[in-house]
Amino acid sequence: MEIVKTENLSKYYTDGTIVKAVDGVNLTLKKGEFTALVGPSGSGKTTLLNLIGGIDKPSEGKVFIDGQEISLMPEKKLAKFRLHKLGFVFQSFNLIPVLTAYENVELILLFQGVPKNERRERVMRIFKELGIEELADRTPSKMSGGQQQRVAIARAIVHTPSLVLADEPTANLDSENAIAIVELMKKMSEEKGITFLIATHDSRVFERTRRIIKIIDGKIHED
Amino acid sequence: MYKVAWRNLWRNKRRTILTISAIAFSVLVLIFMLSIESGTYEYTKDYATKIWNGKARIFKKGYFQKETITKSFTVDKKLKKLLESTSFSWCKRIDGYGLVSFGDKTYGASISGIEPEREISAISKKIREGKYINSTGQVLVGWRLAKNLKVKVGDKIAILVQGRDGSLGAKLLEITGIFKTGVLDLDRGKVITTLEDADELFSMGGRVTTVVLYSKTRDFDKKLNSLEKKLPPELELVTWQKMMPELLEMIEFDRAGAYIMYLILIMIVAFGLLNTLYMSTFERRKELAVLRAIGLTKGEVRALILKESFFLALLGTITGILISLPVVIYFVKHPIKVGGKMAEFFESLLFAPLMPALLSWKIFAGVSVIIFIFAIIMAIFPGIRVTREELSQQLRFEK
Ligand SMILES: Nc1ncnc2c1ncn2[C@@H]1O[C@H](COP(=O)(O)OP(=O)(O)O)[C@@H](O)[C@H]1O
Ligand SMILES: [Mg+2]
Repeated sequence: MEIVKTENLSKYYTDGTIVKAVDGVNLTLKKGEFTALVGPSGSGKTTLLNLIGGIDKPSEGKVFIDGQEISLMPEKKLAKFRLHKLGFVFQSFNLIPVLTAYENVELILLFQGVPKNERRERVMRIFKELGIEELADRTPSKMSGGQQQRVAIARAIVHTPSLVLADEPTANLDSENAIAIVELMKKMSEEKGITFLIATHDSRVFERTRRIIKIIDGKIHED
Repeated sequence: MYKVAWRNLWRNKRRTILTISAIAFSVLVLIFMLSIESGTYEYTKDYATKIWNGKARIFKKGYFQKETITKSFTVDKKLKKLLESTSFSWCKRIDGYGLVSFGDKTYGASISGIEPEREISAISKKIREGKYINSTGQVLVGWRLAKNLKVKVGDKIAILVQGRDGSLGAKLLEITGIFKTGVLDLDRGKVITTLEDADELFSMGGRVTTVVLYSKTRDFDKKLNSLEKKLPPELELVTWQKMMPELLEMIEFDRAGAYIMYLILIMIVAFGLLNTLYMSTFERRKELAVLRAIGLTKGEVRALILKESFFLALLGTITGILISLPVVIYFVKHPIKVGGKMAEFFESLLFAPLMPALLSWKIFAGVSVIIFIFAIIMAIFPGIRVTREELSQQLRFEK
């Protein structure tokens, strides 16, 4: 089953000259696939992830997620779509600083309108699965980078989305944490059948993925 | 989301407290000024009308347009019963004009006959020399008129008038008191005697020119309306606003000046809020972008900022009200006293030299509502600003 499918997906920036940040990308990701999107800095990884995640609008081409074309969705519908179908992991963790780890993860379910008891159960289950129960009451400033990224992963998968998009999730982490984070994502992908697309130029990451997509100058080179 | 909004406030404690203080201060000043203004307005109304004119008067139709002793009426049983059915205090008067002489000096003056024990004006409390009148043959004069006539208490002055039927009336009356009201017209040109003496002077045959009404009740206007409907057709009611248009104008002028001040204060609140909200949303652009990335709509992000503004306004208003309450109560019990020359000036304008506060929930509620309206308006701009930029840009370039 195809979770992601792009058709001739392109994004152009025109500041002075035309920059083809993403250039005619045709890509499919199947359910449960654990894939790295690899390429040097400036090759278009973030842009491609943003297009697939509906954060950016394509200049040309289409993006289908779970069979729905998202590039045509209005803002509100797209926001709800992201809320239910997608998970995001960022390079700089991006947890909400005023909320505890528990509340950061709970937020997604709260936005979805999940009742309180069920929220509690699901958040605690994810924390247990990721082995981070002891972080529940800490705010981001009281956690290390590795701990914050684990919480961020919890936030990305607590609602069992179809697809998790991770942009350089290990760039701000030491080796030990980087490897642990990838392994954790892999485990979740396998256990829950969640599709992961991880943009990275970190060999510690792509050594551990089943599939590697190479991107250079906005074009897919190797798959 | 309330939790997020609430905690966001306390991220920058100093700024939040500063904003809350600014709002609280403005609320305090607004409530204080409005309370003093309303209190003074109410008091001045009571005070100014109490000096002589009353809150309202009953005249024969036409008298108010052209004051003449011929336009007079009798307070018969029916009218008396009607007046007594109201909760107003009332008294009869005869007002006319004449000449007042002492020795070789003669001045024109306004002559009033009153019922000394029923009289409702404060004239009995304005006696500076001698005492109030209590029987026929006695007269009170304003201090300026007394000075002009070179009379003192105990002197007898001659009063010469033209009566209702055109005949001349004359009387020699003894000055028992000299009054000082601060109102030039009264102090310089008023002579007050008993209703009986005035009746004889003007050949009134039991008629009067006016009935003075006074009451401090808040719904005076409403009660007055119902009285007016029952009044015989040849009589009319004239309110203090019509009798003393200068006073009304003065009060309104005073208020207009105050409104500018209120506007400035509200602007302080508005821009304080705007500044705080702009800064706090600007600092959190990335975080707000993350919220949008994980599934909040633009509207929901704006609602978050609105909630923060709401909390700021709420805390500021509550603090402001809590401070205002004892301050207003204090000034209800201890009105601001205007002293010295200023007091004389106030009195000459019929303004009370006392400025009490009025404790009214309407003022508190009104100020709160205004602050909240501005809090909502001021949250709109930063909300639109922060959600207008492209999401991918916000996520990409800000740490
Ligand atoms: N807003 C923008 N305006 C102009 N050029 C941009 C913008 N965003 C990205 N680019 C350009 O697009 C290319 C791809 O960027 P990006 O997707 O961030 O690459 P990567 O994530 O692989 O480092 C780069 O050349 C970058 O300079
Ligand atoms: Mg990038």
